[in-house]
Amino acid sequence: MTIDGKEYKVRDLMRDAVIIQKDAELSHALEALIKGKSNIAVVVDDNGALLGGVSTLDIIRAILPDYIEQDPTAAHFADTAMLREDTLKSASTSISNFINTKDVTVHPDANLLEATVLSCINAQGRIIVVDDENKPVGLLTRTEIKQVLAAFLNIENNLEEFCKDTSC
Amino acid sequence: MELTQIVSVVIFAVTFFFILTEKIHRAVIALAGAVTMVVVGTFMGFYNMDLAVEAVDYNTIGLLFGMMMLVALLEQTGVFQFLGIYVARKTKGNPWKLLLALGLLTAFLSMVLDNVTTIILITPITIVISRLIGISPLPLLLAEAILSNVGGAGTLVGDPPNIMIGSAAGFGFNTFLLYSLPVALAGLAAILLLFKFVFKEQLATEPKDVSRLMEMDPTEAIEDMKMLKQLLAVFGGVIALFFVHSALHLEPSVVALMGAAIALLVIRAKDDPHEIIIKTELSVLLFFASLFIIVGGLEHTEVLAKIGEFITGTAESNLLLTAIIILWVSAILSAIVDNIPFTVAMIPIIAFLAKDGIDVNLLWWALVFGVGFGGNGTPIGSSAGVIVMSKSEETDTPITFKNWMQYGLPATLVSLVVATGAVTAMYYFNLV
Repeated sequence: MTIDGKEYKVRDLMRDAVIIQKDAELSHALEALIKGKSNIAVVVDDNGALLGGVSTLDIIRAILPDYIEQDPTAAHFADTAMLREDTLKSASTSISNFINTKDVTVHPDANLLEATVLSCINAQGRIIVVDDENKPVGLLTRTEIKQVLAAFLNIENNLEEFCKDTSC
Repeated sequence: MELTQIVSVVIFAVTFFFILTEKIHRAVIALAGAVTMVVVGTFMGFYNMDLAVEAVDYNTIGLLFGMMMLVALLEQTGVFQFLGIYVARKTKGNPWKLLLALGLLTAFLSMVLDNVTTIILITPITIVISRLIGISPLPLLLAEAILSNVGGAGTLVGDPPNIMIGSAAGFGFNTFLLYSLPVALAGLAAILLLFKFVFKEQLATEPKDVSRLMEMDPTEAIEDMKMLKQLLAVFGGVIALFFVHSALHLEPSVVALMGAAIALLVIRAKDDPHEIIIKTELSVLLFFASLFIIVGGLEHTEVLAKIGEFITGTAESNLLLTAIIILWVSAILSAIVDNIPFTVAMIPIIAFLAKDGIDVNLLWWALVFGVGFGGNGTPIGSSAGVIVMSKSEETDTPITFKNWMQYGLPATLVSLVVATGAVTAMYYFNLV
C-alpha cells in the first residue's frame, strides 16, 4: 500500500504490544495494561509463542459475577462497595481462565488492506502481529488504520510523526 | 414383535439415549430422530409426513409459544425485579421472612409464567439483596428454585408437562386449579416448614445492615411504566380468559396466542417481532414437536399399545397402586433426566388405558405431580435448579451438589409424600 510514494506494510505501522505470561494474575495484567497505556495485553507461553489476548473488557467480565453481568436492574440496586469487593476477590485469578484465544493475527509483512479487512470481519479493535514462529511482534489497532485512511484522503494527519512515535 | 415395531423402538431408543445423555443438543437429536422416524416409516409403510403432522400437539406448542411471547415482552419492563424488591422490603431484612417472601413470590409467578424466566430475573436481585444486608443467599436461592418447580405444577400453564398432560387429558385451566393447585399449595407449605427447620442456623443470622434494603425504591426497577400497564392489562385478560376458556370453547393455546397478538399490536405494532421471537425458546418448541413425531411413530407401530396392554392388568386390579407407581417412577426419572421426553412417552400409554375403559384421571394427576415435583430431587433435575446453581457459583456460599442433596432432596420427598397422600385421598373419596 503506497502512501506519498512509500510502500507501507503492517510492520511499518504496528505499535509495541504489552506482553504478559500465561500464568499472570488478573492484577498483574491490569497493571501491565495501565503501564503500557493499552487496552489489550498479548499472552504468551513459556517459549514466547502467542496464546491469545486479554483485553480490559475481558478483565471487567472476569471481575463481575455472572449473576449481575447481564442484569443492569440488579446492578442498579447494588453499590460501588460490591464492585470493590469483587475486584479484590478476583485480583489473584489467573488470566488463563479468560484468555481470548480467538484473537485474529496478521503477519508483519501483510499489506494494510488485509489488516483493514481482518479488523472489519472480526470486529476487533486490534490485530496481534505475529512472526513466522507465531511469536507476537506488535499490535495494529484501529488508530493506525485510521491514520492510513486519513492519509489517503489528504486529511491532515500525523502518520509520519505517528510512525516515528511507534518506531515504524 | 414385528419388524416395524423393532425399527421404531430402535429409532426412539437411540434418540432418547442422546437426549438423556446430553451428548448432542436435545433439539438437534430430536429433530434428527423425528425425520428418521418419518423417512423410515414412509419406506416401511407404518408412518408418513401426514401422520407426523397429526401427531404434533399444536395446543401445547401454541400455548407455550403464546406464553413465551408474553413473558419475553413482560421481562423487559422490570416488573420481576420490582416485585422482588417490593416483597423483600416488607420483610425488613429478616432472613426467614425473606425466604418466605421471595420463595412464595417465585412460586406464584411460576404458576402463570415460565419458571426459567422467573428464576433468571429473580436470582440476581436476591443475591444483591443478600449481599447488601450481609446474609447468605444460599437458603433463599434454593427455596426459589424448589418452590418455583412446585408452584409451576399447580396450574395448567405453570409447567410444560402440565400443558401436554392437560391437552391430552382434556383438563382445562379450572380443572388444574381444582385438583393440582391445592396439592401444590400443600407441597409449598410442607417444604417451607421443612426449610424453617433445616435452615434454622442460617435463618437465625442477624442481617448486618438492612438500611440499604430499606432505601431501595422498587419503582426504580420499572423500565417502562406505560408498557408495563398495557402488558398487565393484556395479561390480566389472558388469565381471565383461561378461567372461562372451556365455556367459550376456546383452547388455552388460542387464549395465549390471542394475548401475544394483542400485546404485539398494542406495544409494537410497527416493529418487526423478530426481536421478541428470538427471546422465545424456539428450539424448545422444535424439541417438543419432534418428540411428538417420534412418539407418534411408536403409536403407529402399536408399540405403546403393547405397553398399555401390559399395564392394563395392574391398572384394572389396583388403580391406586398404578397411580402411586406412576407418581414415584416419574418423580425418580424426572430427578435424573429431562421430564419432558418422559411425559411425552407416558401420555399415549395412559391415553391407551383410557381407551381400554380404565378411569385414568387419577393416573394423569399422578403423572402431573411426579414430573412436577420430581425435578427437585437433584440440581440437574430441572432447568430452575441448573440456573440457580450456576448463578450461585460466584457467591460466597455456592450451592453444591451436596447442599442440594442435603436440603433439596428432603424437600422433594416431603412434596412427594404430600402428592401421594393427595392421590390416595382422590382415590378413596372418589374425587376424580
